[in-house]
Amino acid sequence: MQHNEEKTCWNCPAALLKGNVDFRACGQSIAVIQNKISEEGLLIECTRRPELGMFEPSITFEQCPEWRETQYGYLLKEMRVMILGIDGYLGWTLALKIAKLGCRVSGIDNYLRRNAVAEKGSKSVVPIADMETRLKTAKEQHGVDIDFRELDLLDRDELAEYLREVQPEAVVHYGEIPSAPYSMVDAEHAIRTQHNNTLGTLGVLFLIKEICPEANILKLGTMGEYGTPLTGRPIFEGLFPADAVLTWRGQEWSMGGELTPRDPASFYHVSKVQDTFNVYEACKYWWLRSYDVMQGVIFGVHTEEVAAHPDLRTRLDVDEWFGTVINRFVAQAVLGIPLTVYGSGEQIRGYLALEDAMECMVRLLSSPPEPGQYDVVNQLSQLYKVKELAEIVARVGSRRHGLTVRIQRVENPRIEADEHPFLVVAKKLRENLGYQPKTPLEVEIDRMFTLLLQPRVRGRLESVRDTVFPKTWWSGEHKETMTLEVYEPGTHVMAGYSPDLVVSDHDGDE
Amino acid sequence: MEISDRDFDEKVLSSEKPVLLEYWASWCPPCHTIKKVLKKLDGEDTWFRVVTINVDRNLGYASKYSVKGVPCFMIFKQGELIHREVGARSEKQIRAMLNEHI
Ligand SMILES: NC(=O)c1ccc[n+]([C@@H]2O[C@H](COP(=O)([O-])OP(=O)(O)OC[C@H]3O[C@@H](n4cnc5c(N)ncnc54)[C@H](O)[C@@H]3O)[C@@H](O)[C@H]2O)c1
Repeated sequence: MQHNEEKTCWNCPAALLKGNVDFRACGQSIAVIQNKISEEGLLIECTRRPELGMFEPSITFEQCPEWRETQYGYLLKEMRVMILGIDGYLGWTLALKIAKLGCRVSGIDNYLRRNAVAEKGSKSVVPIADMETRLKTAKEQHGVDIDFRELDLLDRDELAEYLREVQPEAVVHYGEIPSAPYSMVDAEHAIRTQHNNTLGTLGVLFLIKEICPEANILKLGTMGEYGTPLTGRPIFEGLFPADAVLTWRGQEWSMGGELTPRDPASFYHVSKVQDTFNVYEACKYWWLRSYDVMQGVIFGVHTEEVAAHPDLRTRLDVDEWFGTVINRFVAQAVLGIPLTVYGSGEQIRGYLALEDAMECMVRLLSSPPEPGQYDVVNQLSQLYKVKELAEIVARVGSRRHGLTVRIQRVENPRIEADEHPFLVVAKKLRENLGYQPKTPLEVEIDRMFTLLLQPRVRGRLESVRDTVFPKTWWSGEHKETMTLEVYEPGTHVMAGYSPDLVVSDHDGDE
Repeated sequence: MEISDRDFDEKVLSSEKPVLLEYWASWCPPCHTIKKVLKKLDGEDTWFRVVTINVDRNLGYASKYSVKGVPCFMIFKQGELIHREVGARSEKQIRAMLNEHI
């Protein structure tokens, strides 16, 4: 059974509601509302099947010929998907994946990421082609046509024009500045991050409302929005579950469905929390539908589609601003730099492989929320301690690639809890959308070593060596980061809290 | 079970068993979270029926019963509305509501 076969027109972005009545206007005039309700109840029109005329929205995805069965559930045939930030690490990878699955993919980018990495004096260590070459190679290797427009999503007139042309049925919003350290450099970087991300997203929401309100909005948030509460209370999927109760002065209130607390970990993470509220409100005010994807840290280089040709590879950054931890550890191991663990290294975070992240996104595309529905998923495969990751990278590097890898603890330039409990709930993708993580950590780390050890990649890696060590202090101080200790893998025991991941109801959380 | 205005009469008003009905809306996150609990209740007991109905798509009875906010819980016995409560409720509170009124 496919996870989405029983969904109906209510979930389909091709369905146009006719005479949608807003109950919230009821108090205004019952008479007006009653006039609007036809004898038949509510009807819809299908933009893809106009021959049906007006009908009752009860056709299931399984019954509808516009929805085609794939290994990820039913998928709307030739679904028009626009990817904001299509030139990025995830955007490009997803573009190829869904184009191969038969989606009609379009995208925009203003190359902000390429420029910001250059500002740091770095570059993608895996060489990446320019967009023109990427598109041409995608056509040659995979037979897909991806449409691209170079534009800044803050340019609302241009974006409006493109949205009108494409009429997307889904919008994947990756187009933000994704770096915590970048946002902590100084006022200028913090303001640039929040301006680009928060105001960019707000403008996009207004445009979607005007032009394609039925589109399924996949908005990228991050697990970092939640922080790491020291009480150890569970990190639910954005909203409290039905059985969460607030007790105060002997009285009880249900918290079910309310937004859970957020405790962002940098000005970048604050921008994501602001997005969360803007998306949440837009769904409520305008009948938009969205998944707010609280994504864990992504690692890796591999999907079948990007690995098909060197000009299809996606970027990989290892500098202190844009490199994410596992990617950086592998690079450090290749460069012979002891792996930089911040502080105690007991910080716990959620992670998932690039390949698995892409599968999650396809599943979310295949199962749009209903008009007006704001939903949140915690998108991650596993929880790890940073110290533990260093050990695993060291092990794969030495056993499989003959490298000598050591680990160093450095002063923690971030202001964060070094040791904290972490109880994370990540059930929806698995229970409702049929996702199962497929890429073991060691396998992906091994693939990364293989790629980074290729002579031409290794050469590029050498040239960005100076950008690897952390220098950006959350305190705003400009000072060197000191190494506290260098040690051999396998010589340190894990202490403190154990990661706790709840992936199903049977884990005893409810 | 999800119902509409069209089968409201059959599933609620003419029901032999007492009915717990919930008005919900797609834009109401508490309404979505409570669905799981209602499904569970519906499955475990046979002496009453649990139904849900979307308020925006079914304004007929909603206006008749002057529904002003969601989630809105109503209990019907022999076609008669005997109790209503507006606002998110925990599973425990819903069970208490059922025990008191059915
Ligand atoms: N990579 C991760 O580990 C990770 C984890 C959690 C969340 N995320 C989120 O996922 C999204 C994508 O991440 P990524 O790693 O692919 O980052 P990325 O920087 O590689 O991709 C973002 C793309 O958006 C583009 N962009 C940014 N601002 C734009 C604007 N104003 N107009 C047009 N294009 C613009 C950039 O040029 C870039 O190509 C981001 O929102 C990020 O916060 C990433």
